[in-house]
Parts: sequence; structure tokens; C-alpha cells
Amino acid sequence: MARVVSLFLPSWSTDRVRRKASAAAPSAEAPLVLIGREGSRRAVAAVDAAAYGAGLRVGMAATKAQALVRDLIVQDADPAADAEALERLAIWALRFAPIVAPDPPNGLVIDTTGADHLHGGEAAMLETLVGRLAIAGAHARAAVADTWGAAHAIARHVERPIAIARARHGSAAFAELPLEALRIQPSTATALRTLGFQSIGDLLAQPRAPLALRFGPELGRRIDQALGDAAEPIEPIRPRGLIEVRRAFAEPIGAAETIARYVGKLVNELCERLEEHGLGARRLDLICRRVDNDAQAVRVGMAMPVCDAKRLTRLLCDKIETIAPGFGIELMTLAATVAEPLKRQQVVSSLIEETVADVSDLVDTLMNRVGERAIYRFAPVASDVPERSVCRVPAMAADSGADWPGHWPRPSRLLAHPEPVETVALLPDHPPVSFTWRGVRRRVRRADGPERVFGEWWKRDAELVAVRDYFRVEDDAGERYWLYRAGDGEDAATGSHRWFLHGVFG
Amino acid sequence: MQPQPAIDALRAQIERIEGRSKRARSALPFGIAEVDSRLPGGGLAFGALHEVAGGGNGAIDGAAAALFSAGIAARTRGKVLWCVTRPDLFAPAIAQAGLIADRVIYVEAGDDKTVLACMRRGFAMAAWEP
Repeated sequence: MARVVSLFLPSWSTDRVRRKASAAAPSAEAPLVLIGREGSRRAVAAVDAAAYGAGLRVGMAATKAQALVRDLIVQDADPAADAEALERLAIWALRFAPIVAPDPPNGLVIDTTGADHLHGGEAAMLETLVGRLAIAGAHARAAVADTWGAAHAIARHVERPIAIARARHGSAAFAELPLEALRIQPSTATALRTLGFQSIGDLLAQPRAPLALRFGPELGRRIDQALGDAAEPIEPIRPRGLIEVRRAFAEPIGAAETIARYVGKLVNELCERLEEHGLGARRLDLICRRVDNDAQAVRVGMAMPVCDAKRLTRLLCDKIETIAPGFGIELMTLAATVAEPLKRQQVVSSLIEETVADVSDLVDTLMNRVGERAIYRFAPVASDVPERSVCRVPAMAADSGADWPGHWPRPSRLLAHPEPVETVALLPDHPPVSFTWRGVRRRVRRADGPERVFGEWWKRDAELVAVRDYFRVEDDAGERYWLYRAGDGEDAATGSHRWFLHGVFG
Repeated sequence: MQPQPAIDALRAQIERIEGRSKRARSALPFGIAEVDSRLPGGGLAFGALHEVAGGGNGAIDGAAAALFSAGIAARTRGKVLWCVTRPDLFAPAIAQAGLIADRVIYVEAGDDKTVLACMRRGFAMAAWEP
């Protein structure tokens, strides 16, 4: 089942103008409108949120807008620059999935079938997408659904920054939405309203023939596209200067072995091209165009630039099972969407030096299976607060040689959130005599501590005086735990004096 | 265990038939005579699957097992691939067991099936060297 993300940028033109002006940009509260020409009439072409709130609308005469709002900032609209910026955004969005296309005038469409797990699931992926755009100063709403039509409708007509329609939603996901959500001409929508239709659901219940007779084939086509009954291929955008090879088949291919053979041929060609440029691929996108004009995409990522045909072929062939060939594939396109200069390394002779096994191949394979964020190494951070003392670094990051200070034993398991425990303990500096964790009371036989950890006042004001006293305790069964008391046991300002279990030594 | 030359010979024959004997078997000794003398090959065999299991009390015994495995892995060379279902290992403790952070690559697989699949990938590609 296909999954399509539609990204809606409600104030793309004005966001772009503000972004271009960067430091000199008018403040976000100042209303901004862009003026375009409709024949000889100067009319409002785009309004930002502040101007919309002040009652300005697209299509209003420029002079009227200026009369309505004081201190209105007026600039000329530039649709060509907007479209160009949208294309650049589409190229940026290629990091999420191989098939991305601009959806003018103010949207993007991304085919994320089988790509979401690499970004931590659909919700996390959309959050990243919208969040990154917000940081760049563009308001965005994103929706994911089974079809372009449905995602387009939900993104534009559901007032939520992120909307996820469950898989195989059918018509339920958009039946409540207004008629305009179907991407039909405004005149058609008005005429339908006159006939008494309010939502898409009303329209779906109607026989199709009279509607086609009255409004032409466009309406039925849009309904079918939203339902997924009619195909709507997404023509993927390709950045300029992309290293790409393609192969068209006179006779459509479908067998996995045949696909694997041609993948091998394409990879060989691509590697030759990469070698000419002295590059290695960091990401490969294979797009298979089927006879029914549907596109199946496979993406593999590499931790380091790679220009080894065998390795790349294997990575791609691991994913052949995700390609649904349908009635056959007639065109295969392989592109190195991210390529970086290849650093050649001289291999030392094993006679004099110990060779270190190269694990980048394994890391690549696993990365494409579990996702880039699920394979990592830990690195030390200079912090005494246990949960802050580690950070994740990419698996292939250079060895730092850094280590944690080993003054105090640390538990091999650290709970993600310290769990409160009921204790019997003497204040101010005695370890507990017994504690109850997860409903089991444990008597403390031995204890060591306290190890006092102070709050990091430079991070949060609340940590200025905060203190934790850590104790290592062993119960009757010989199991060892890492407990701490919030606060120093004397001054209530340093913490609540409640006890928590933070880790298990085993 | 008493030596059983007939069974040992049979085992060697089976290994030859299965074509596994190309790789020279070697083992990682614990350095404790009482333990090593009871293990075939005088230690934990390289290129083999070992299970370190805790008791019935999953969360707590698992912590000890993790630390024990880290101690063993620390005495080998090269990178260590550590597949987990949930990220609850505390890297400073692993480092205190001697396995420095630069050597361990963690794979967070989410479920047991993916853990096994990732481990299989690791076995297939790892260069077994003592």
C-alpha cells in the first residue's frame, strides 16, 4: 500500500520574502502582503498570518488593503521566485524519500512508501519535516494518507500541523471535508454547493453518471484519485548535475532474479560515472517505473562514501523484496542522490601492522535495515549527572579515545526515568534500611555512598541548588541497585528528599 | 568429563563432511584454570554462539549478564556489535568493564526477530580473528 505525504505551506510566498530579507526582515507581528498584477489591477497575491488576522484576503485590491490596515508592509509578489524556491525545497526534501515533487503553488508531495521507518515512524518523520521548516521560518502542515488526493485534502483542510490517516482509510479519512478539498475548480465547488452538496461524503453517495454529465470528467477523476481507484503518478524532481543512470526495457521485467541482474548492471555503470568524478555514493535511489505508470522506489544509505559496485549491488539487492513489480517494470533509474569525494586509503601490509577489520560495510547493511538512528555508538559528555553523561554519535564517527572518569562504579542498566521508591532511611546521610520497588520490599544488607551529584546551574535555574545523593545498595538476594535521594537531607530547597531507583547493577 | 576418543573422532568427521573445519578453531581463555579446564578448547570458542543467561528475574539478572558479556568482549580485538531491543544499557558501566566506548556499535532493533536478523548479518560479515 502506498503512503503519500502532502506538505502544505500556507504562507509560502510571505515566508520566503521574510527569509530572504533575514536580518532586515519585518517583525513577525507586522502584517505583510505581496501584491501581484491581474491585468491592470493591482491585487493582493499573498497575505501572512498577521495580515490575515487583520482581515486581508487574497484577491483584494491593493489600495483597499492599504486603507484597511495601518503600517501594512507591501511588497511585490514574485511567483517565479516562489516556484524556484519550492523546487529547492523539494530537492531538500529528497532526504526523506526518493520520490518528491513540488505541488505548486504552495505544497510538496512526497511518496514515503516504505521509507518512514528509517525516520522513526510516520509521526516522527512528519514532526521532523514540519519542525525543520519551522526553524527555517516556513509555516507548514503535513498529512500522510494512502493517496496523493487524500493527503492533499487532509493537509489543507484539517487544522492540525500533523495529520496521519491510518493505512487503508478508504473514503472515511476525507468524507467530512468540504468540496474544495477535492482539488476541483472553485466554480464547480460553488455549483455543487448550490445543488445542496456540503461535504465530499455527500458527493460519494451520488451516482457518478449524472455528475459527469453536469460537471464533466474532471470531478469523477479527482474523486477516483482521492480514493486510489485512479492512478496519479508523482513525477520525481531531480537535482541538476545528478549522477544518474537509467535503463529502459522493451519487454517489461518482473522476476526478482532479473531485477537483481539489471541492478548489478546499473550499479556498474553508476560506479564508472562516480569514479570519473572521484566521488563515492552516500545514498542511492533506485526508481522502478512500472507499466501502469506507478513508481516503486528503493533507497539505501551508506555511512561513508562508497564506490564499490559489489557492495552497492548487495545493499540494493537486499531490498528487492520491497519492490512490487505488478505487471512489469519498464524503466529503472539509479541515481546517487548524495555523493561525496572519495578518500582513497592505502592498505598497509599485514606483515608489519595489525589490520583493523573494516566494519563500514556491516554498518551500511544494518543501517538500511533498522534505520540510521538505530545504529550508533556512545560517547562521553563531561557531566556528572548520569543521564547526561552519554551522547549518541554515528557508528562510523572517528574514534575519540575519550572515556568516562572511573571513580565510582556505574550500573550496567540505567532506567530511562528514575522510578520513585518507598524507603525507610535516616536523614541526613544514611542509606535506606529498606526500600519498596515495583511492589517488592527489599531489605538493604550493604550500602555504599553517598556520591553527591550537584545540579548544573548553567543549564536550568532550578538546578542551582539541586542535589542528588547516590547510594549503591545490596539486598538480601545479593542484587545491587543504584538509589538516590533528591536533596541533601537537610535543606528542603535542594530537593524533595524523596528516594528514586535509577539503575541496576545486577 | 571422561575423554571419549570414538565420539571425538566422529565429531571431527562430521565437521569435515560439513566443510566447517577450514576455519582454525581457537578459544578465548578466561585465565582461570578451574573454568578453562571445563570448557572445550580451554575457553570460549571464537566464531561460535554463546548464551549468557541470567536467572528468572529478567531486568536484574540481565544487567549482570550484560556486564559479564562486556567483560568477555573487552578481551577480544576489533569492533563489537551489540544488538539490543531497548536502549537501557549504560555505556559508562560497559566502559568500566573494560570495553571502551569507541569499540562498541549498538544496534537498536526493537524486537527479538530483528535482533536475531542483525546478529546474523554481523556473523556473516565479521572477520573471525582471535
